[in-house]
Amino acid sequence: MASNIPTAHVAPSRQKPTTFKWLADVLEGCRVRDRDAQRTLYERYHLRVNRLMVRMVGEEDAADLTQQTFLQLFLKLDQFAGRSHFDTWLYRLSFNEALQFLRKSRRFRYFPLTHEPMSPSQAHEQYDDKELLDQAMALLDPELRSIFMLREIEELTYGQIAAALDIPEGTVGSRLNRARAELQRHLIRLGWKP
Amino acid sequence: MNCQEAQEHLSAFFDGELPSTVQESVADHINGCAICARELERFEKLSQLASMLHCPEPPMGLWNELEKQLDAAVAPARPRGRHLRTSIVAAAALLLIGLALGLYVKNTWFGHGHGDHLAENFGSYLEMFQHDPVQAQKILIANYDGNTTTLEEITRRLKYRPVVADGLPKGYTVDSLYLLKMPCCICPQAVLKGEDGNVLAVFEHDADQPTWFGKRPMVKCRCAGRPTTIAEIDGKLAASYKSGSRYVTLVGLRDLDEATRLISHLAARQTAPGR
Repeated sequence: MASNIPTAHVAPSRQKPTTFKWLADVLEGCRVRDRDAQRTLYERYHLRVNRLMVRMVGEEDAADLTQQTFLQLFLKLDQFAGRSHFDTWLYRLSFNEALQFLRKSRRFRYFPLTHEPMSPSQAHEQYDDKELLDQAMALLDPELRSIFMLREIEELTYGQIAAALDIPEGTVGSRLNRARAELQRHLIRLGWKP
Repeated sequence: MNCQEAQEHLSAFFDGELPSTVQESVADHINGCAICARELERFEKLSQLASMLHCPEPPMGLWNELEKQLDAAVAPARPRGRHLRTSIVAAAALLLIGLALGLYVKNTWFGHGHGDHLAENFGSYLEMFQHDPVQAQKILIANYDGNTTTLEEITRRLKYRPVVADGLPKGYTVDSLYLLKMPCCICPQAVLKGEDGNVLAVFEHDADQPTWFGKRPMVKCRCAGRPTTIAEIDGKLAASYKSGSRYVTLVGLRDLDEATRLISHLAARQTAPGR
C-alpha cells in the first residue's frame, strides 16, 4: 500500500518569488546609496532577518540586530560579488551578526521572555508545545539552532543552507540530525510528550 | 541497511535530500523498523511545531531608525538622475582627490613603503583590539616602543594636555596612559573603560592618519558638529576628528551614539587654555 511507505517531507516555499531583474535593479540602486532602493530592499527582507534574529538572540535584542544587519548590508554591499545568491549572502551576514553579538555578550543562548526554570510537568502545564519548542531552541548551540531554523522555518534546501552557513553540503544532514535529536531531548526534559 | 546507517541518513531522508537509490533503501529499512519509524514521526512532529512558531514583527519605526543611522554613516553617492546630488558628490570627489594628491605630494609622515607597513601593523591592532584589547595593547606597545606614563609627564614632554585630561563622560574612566613613538609623532594614548566593560583607545597625533584605517570602508560625517572619519572594524567603529591643531582617533566604539557622545564631550574641552 502506497500509504504505508514513508515519504520525504518537502515543504513548499513560503517565500514570494524574487525576479533576478528586480533584485539586480534594487541592488544597483543600493550600491549608489539610493534611499528608495534601500527602503525597497529593507521592506522585502526585514521580516526574514528579524525572524532569524528573534530565534538567534531573543526578542529583546532582535530589532537592534536586524537594524545592525541592514546597516552592515548597505555598507558592505560592494563585497557581494554575485557569486552566491543574494538571499544566502544575506543569511550569512545575519548569522555572522548574531554570532558576533552572542560572542561579545558572552551569551551562547538566550531565554525567551516567558522562560522560568521549572519542573517538566509544571512547564507543560503552563506552556503549549510551540512555546516549549521556542524554549528548547534557545537551549541549542547557536550553530545547530541556525541550521534547524534555515531548514524548518526558512525552508532552504541543503545546498542553500551550506552556502548560507559556509559549510560543506555533506555536513548539513549530520548537523540537522544532531539539531533534531538535541531538540527532542530538550523538549522531553521540558515536558513535551511526542 | 541497518539502524545506524538509516539514522545517519534520517534527516536527509526526511527532507528529501538523498539520491533516489539511498532514499529507497532508507524507506525500506523504516518500513521494517519501529525504532527508526518512531524517530521519523518525531521529526514530523517537530516540523509541524516549527511551522506554527509565532514570530513577533519588528517594532514600527525600525526603518526610520535605520535611516537615521544611514544618514549619519553614509554620505550620499551618485544617485541617478539627480543633478544637484551629483554635483555635490562630484565636488566632494574632487575635494578628496585634491586631499589625496596633497597628501601624496606633501608626504610628510613617513617615507615610501612606511605607510603600508604602518597600515598593516595598525590594521592588525585595530582588529585585535575589538576582541582582545589587552593583547592588542601589548603588541602595539612592543611595535612602537611604548611606555606607560602619566598626564603630568605627557603635558611636560609634549607641551599640551591630552584630550582626556579634563574629564570623561559619565561612566568612563582612564585605565592606562601610554606614550608611543609613532612615525608621525610622539603619540599619547589613553585606554578607557566604560562601565559596561567596553574598552576604548584614544590616540592624539599631529596630522590626519587615513593610513591607520587601511583599505577599510570609511565614511565622512559630522559627529557633534565636527567633521569625522568613521571606519567599521569587525563590528565596532573607529573615529578620527580634528581637535585644535591635532587629530584624535578613537578605537573600539560600539556605535555612532557612543562616538557622538565621546567626541561631543572631548571636543567641548578642546578650547581650554594650553591646548
